[in-house]
Amino acid sequence: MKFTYRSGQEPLPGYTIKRGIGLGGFGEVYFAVTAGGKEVALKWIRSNLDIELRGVQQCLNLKHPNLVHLYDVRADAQGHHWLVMEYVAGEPLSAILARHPNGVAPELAAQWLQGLAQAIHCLHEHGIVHRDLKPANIFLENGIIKVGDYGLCKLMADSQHAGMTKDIGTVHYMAPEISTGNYNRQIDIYAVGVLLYEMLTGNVPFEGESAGEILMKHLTAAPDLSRVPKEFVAILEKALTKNPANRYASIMELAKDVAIVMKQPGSIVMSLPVSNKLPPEIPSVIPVTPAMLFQDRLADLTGNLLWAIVASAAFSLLWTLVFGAGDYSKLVPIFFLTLASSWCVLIPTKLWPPIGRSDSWPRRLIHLTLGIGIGLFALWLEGYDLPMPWNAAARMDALQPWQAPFDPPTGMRVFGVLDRPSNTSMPILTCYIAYFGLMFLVLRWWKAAQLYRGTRFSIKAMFAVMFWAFLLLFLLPSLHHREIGFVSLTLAAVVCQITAPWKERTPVRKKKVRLATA
Amino acid sequence: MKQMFLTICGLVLLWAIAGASGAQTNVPALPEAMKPREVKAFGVDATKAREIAVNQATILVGKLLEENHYTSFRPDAKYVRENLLADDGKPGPDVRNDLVGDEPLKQWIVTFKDSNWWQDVVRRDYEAQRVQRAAVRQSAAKRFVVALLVLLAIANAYVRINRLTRSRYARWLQVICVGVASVLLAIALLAFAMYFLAGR
Repeated sequence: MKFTYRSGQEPLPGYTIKRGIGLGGFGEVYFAVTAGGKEVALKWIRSNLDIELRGVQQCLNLKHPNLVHLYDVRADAQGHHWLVMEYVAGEPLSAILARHPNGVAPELAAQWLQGLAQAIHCLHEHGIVHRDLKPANIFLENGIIKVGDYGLCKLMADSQHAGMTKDIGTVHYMAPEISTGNYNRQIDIYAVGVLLYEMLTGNVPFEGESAGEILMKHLTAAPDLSRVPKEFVAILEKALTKNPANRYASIMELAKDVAIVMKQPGSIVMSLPVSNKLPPEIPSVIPVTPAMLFQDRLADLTGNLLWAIVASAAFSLLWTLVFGAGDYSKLVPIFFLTLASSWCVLIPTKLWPPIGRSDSWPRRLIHLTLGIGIGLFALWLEGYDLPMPWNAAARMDALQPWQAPFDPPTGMRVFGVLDRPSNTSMPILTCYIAYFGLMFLVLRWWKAAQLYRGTRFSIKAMFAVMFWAFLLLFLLPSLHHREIGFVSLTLAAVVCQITAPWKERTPVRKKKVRLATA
Repeated sequence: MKQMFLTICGLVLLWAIAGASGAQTNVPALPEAMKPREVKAFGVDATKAREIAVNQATILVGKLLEENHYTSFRPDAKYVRENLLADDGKPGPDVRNDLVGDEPLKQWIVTFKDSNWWQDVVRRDYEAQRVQRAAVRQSAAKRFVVALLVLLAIANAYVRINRLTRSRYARWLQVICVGVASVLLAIALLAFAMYFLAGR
């Protein structure tokens, strides 16, 4: 089969087709752009028009972050009906599972299932049964599960009698009661059970050489759960039970059980708003689904922290070799401050929930606190005594006013240029915590460590740190070794960007667009 | 704009608080009675006498520091000559000593500055103490980071292997990880004990 329309054609006024992305018994799906430049998916509904349109109209105003949005239904000059949909740039789950023939990690499967459950829950709350859940209709975009092809009937009227859909692949996810013609939303729960089984093992529970054989297995055979991780066995037994009355009453119950076995009960969001409006705090780009699993986080975090140690050591050494003018005494404090600063960026960025605005006052205040902590650490590392209750006997030289060092500074002469007469009013303690605290308060450090940032390494971020460091060093009386403060934060900006994982943020990945199989 | 606003607010606040605090250098003054005024020294010639006078002044300042429990900084003759003495000094009356010989010994008198050089000396002692403390702390921080590096590597290896094996051997992996960490901890403690004993 070939696509009817080619790139550049405009069958529907205002929409220019770029390429075809899906062909099926129901029609053709194209990637198109509007006159204003918005990217959309256009679905030309060629058959079962009445059934399709009825289903689509029911879903037109449905909005949910885990559902592919339907924008409009339009008719062209020839009377053809077109469904205008959200363009999803991610991969379908089928492609992902094809790359993982033995299934994905249980944590990942559980994570994806949460998104899937939210979408199905939203549909069920609106009285809609999806009826054709399968990996090809589920997409993963920027870590978010998106369910498509809902509201479309898929010749289900026929299938109720024939016991099969037009698309043989769908049979694998078909609940036994569909053959009786008497079914409800329980069929979606069964299909989700099959999907979970497939995500965990890489295979569907029932396979056969013909649709009839597969359907017969759905009706009579028990799924082989020996390959499934043991904590999922009870869940799958209940989800895949033949009698719909014995299955989970709702999809959220299934999701809750999955979260419980993954020891992540907090990950369940029992009722995302199912209104027609998106919740305001849902950002356009979410790095990962709301509940990142603990082990994944731990693996990422420990890996990042390890790399940060290596990178900090390497860059500190490089800097000292190139600019140190043979003075190696600054190598160790530069290394430790670079490491501490980069950790203070990497850890909160990793732990900060990806929901909501990235820049907020609580976040800034946390960074300010961390910056003050680094300032105190720098003081300690430089050998200053801190005014602690248990340290009363020591000379609290951190409260002494800053004074110019006895020996002329070595290293980069640019810092020598800024040397001014000693300030006799501001204590050293204040200088340190002010410099590091303000540097962490003023700059948006987390941007350098976010998963979805513009580029892997941004020289602008480094220059921003250098600019503000230079400015503050100029405004503040100074640190003992101003070069150390300047260099360590500059290197931290580099280390954070290099060690933090990065994924391309752009929503358009034109090579992997497979929106719907119609 | 937000950044500029935050910076200005932060700095104004700092200057308002810290600037008004009027922190003063906390160096106890040397009692007038202990304050050295001049040092007399003798030598076979004026040059030698002057050299000995500066050395004696250096020793005197060192003793003063020690008496006041400042043990980290020891001034050298160059520092004393350039910073503590008022000038090159002046020759004093020659002294005849039969034990030395027939030639009279030349006398040289160096005078300490009237300014509060004691404060500078003590500040340098503070600085020397700080440098010593910094070396100790940086050494401790190095050990801490090495230990942390090992623990992170163990945790990372555990999570990755556990994920690779789909938690089938989670218990065994936990036992191995705790075992490895315990062995490393024991080695570290043993090394510390040996270092401590060797030091004694």
